[in-house]
Amino acid sequence: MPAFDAPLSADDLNDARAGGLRGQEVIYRTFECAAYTLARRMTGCEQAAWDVMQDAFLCAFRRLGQYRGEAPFGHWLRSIVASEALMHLRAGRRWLELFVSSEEIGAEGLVEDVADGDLERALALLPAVPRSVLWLYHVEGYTHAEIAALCGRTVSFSKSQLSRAHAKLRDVLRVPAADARPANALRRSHEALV
Amino acid sequence: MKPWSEALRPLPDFAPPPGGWLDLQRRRRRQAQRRVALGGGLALAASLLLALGLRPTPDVTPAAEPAEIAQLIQRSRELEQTLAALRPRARGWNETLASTAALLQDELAVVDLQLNYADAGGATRLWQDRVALMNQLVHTHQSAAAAARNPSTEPAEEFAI
Repeated sequence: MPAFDAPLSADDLNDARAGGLRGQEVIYRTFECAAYTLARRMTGCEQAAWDVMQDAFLCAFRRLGQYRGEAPFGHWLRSIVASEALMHLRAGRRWLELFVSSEEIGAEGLVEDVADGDLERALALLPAVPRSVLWLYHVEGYTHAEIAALCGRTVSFSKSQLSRAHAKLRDVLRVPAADARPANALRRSHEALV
Repeated sequence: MKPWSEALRPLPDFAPPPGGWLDLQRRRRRQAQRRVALGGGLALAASLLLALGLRPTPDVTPAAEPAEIAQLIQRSRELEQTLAALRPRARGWNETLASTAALLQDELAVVDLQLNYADAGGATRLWQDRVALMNQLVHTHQSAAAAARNPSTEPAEEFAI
């Protein structure tokens, strides 16, 4: 699980705030895995995730003076990583293509047990924005209001993107909304190809 | 059956490529070099202007930038008000107008997001983008309002924005 909750000592934070490389390196090494994972989940691309992570750390170190300690440091950093990833999607001019209809698509619902490998493959097939919203909501614990603020959109936008992500995942996993048999269906389709 | 969060959270982290910290130092040095080069270029340009007996125009001096941004912000607010007034009358949406408006609103949302993190130079460009997008959005609403007034041009299917 991404470790944005990892603790950071006041000494390291103060050193980094003062521009100290030692403190900044501690921050970097503490959060690089979490930052890279979030960037990779949102962009779906190794190289893009690498650039997003590095740009996010550079941005964070430039703006360390703005961090006031109201939330854990990792949460502040996480919002910068998420913003950088969203900006990357727009800079690549792929942003508009990645938005999907704002219509609501059913309830959030549940999912049956799915093998990690199946879920990874299904995630890779999702459009970037619904996948990003899905990850921010379910894994990073963002609320719809927080995601909306991050994206500069409404709460209903966040909800519809999440619903769309659920629907797409179910579709890929061949999980009926009410009666799901996901992993077997995907496995069968893979076996048929082998 | 289990919640999506329980299915997603156990997925493994991705390991970043090694050497990230050193790469970050290199990127930082490159950024610093670019800033120095940019500063040197501006200083050289200012020297040349002075040597030629010319003064920089107000809109290229650093002190003028906030004023330019303030004007753009004011223009953006005016367009927001125009748009708010137009919305009740814009009822003649066809597919083209509706999709254009939706795309413009998406672009605006991203520009608004980027404005949260922009420095002064970037903010000027982003506010210019915002005003341009707002102009286009007002235009689509004016077209939709015109189509509503003239039923002969009204599309068969209406879309709500």
